[in-house]
Amino acid sequence: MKVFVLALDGLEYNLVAEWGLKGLQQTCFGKLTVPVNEKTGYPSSPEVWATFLAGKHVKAKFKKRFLDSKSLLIEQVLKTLSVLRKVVGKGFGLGRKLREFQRPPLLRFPEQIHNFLLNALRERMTAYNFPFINNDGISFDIVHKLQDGSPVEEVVDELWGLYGRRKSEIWDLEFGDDVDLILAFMHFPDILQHIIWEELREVHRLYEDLDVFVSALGEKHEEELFIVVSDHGFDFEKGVHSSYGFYSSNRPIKISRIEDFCRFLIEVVRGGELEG
Amino acid sequence: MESWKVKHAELVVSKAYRRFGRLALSWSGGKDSTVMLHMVLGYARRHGLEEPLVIASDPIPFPETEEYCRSIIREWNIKNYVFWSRDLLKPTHLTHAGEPGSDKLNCCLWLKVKPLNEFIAENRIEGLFVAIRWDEHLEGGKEKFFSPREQPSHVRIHPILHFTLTDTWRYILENEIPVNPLYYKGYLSLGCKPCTVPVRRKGFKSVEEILKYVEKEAKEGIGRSIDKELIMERLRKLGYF
Repeated sequence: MKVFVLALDGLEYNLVAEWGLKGLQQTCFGKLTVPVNEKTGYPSSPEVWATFLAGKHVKAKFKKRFLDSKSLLIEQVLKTLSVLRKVVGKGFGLGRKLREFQRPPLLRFPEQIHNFLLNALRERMTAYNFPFINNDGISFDIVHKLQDGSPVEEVVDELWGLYGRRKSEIWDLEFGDDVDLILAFMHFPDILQHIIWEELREVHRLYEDLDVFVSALGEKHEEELFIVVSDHGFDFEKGVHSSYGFYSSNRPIKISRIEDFCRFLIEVVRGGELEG
Repeated sequence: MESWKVKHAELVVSKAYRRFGRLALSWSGGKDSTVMLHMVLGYARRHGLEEPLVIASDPIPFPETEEYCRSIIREWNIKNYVFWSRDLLKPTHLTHAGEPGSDKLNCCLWLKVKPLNEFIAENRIEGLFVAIRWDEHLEGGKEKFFSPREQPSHVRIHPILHFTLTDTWRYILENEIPVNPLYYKGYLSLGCKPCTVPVRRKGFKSVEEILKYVEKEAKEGIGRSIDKELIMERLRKLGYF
């Protein structure tokens, strides 16, 4: 059986339930147990998606460049360089180089862990912007503009624009003859709700919009198994990730842990039938 | 306008043509149903398919709506059509409806629901295109792109269910679709004459102005009072940067 997985970042189970978002709920939906990052105390997207792909809890550390955690320091240096450029007339390109360092790196799948799903179905699957496979960092680049002095409204608008493009590109994905599994990821609603979470009306607009999109995508893929999965939720009291994920499906399935998807997807794609 | 939305509407139309034999389309002369008519006719003509039977205008139309519908029928060369007030209504409907608009529920029942159901049954319509949108109905989320109905048995087809109000106006602008002149007189939602009122006394000069107006309404208040330093700080704490 062909399977389309729409992987979302940060979709909050409780809002989907409370707001009665039927498109996102599909035929069945529920909470997912996801790993909680030992350092931060919250689920971390790279860790959760690595777990999804490996089929077991990935605890490996995802290395970051030294300067990534020194953003505030870099901001001070950049301000100094800006003054220098005004005085001397040029900045020797140091600012641009520092900005490159400041960009969040695209994390690599931990080498010591087996990427079970990718290796098992490599020939029969296609991935769109999926973590550790072909994920780009455009959404992070946009949020970084806040540090460059861009107004929040501008950044929010740009993120909505990216969200619109992501939806269109995901809608365009087709199985073709050889592909049995499509994994499509977008960094929404998380990247937007980290900014707008205190304005519940805006969050509602975003979730309603997502509900409409998922309804349409589900209609397009009604012949296939269509699954929505999210790596964690969002705590709107505190503005942080909530410690459970989300899943829904257009056919009755029962999955309780994010790591169970790996084996489940391989079985469904290889077995040809949905066994529940 | 996001490109997937028009593609999805066309997907729904294509599924309708695959599933149903006799198709009809409810076209009030308002913006949404005119967008839907434009799409369905375009799809049918591109693929050499039979055009749906178009049910034009309202039970109690504005003269402007009636004239607009006639002009579109001429311009778009629509051959397969009926007019609601002329071809669907019977004297008994008008008698039971009473004074138009005085008892809205009863009026809608006798001038809209019953005549349409009788028409669907008499013409053995299997699928009826209807231009509802999720964002205009509080219960919209419960509707589906294909919604089976009983008595008479048929399926309501909703190709633009996923459109927003601004999507509809963008589609009109991008495709240079002529609109009902009542919109320029300040009406934004059209229906039967007794129950339709303008929302803007000074009216609108152009479709561009209407689009700006509805976009502004939709975006009111976005991004105000958000502290960006706090946003970055919280994101860092979660391990993002």
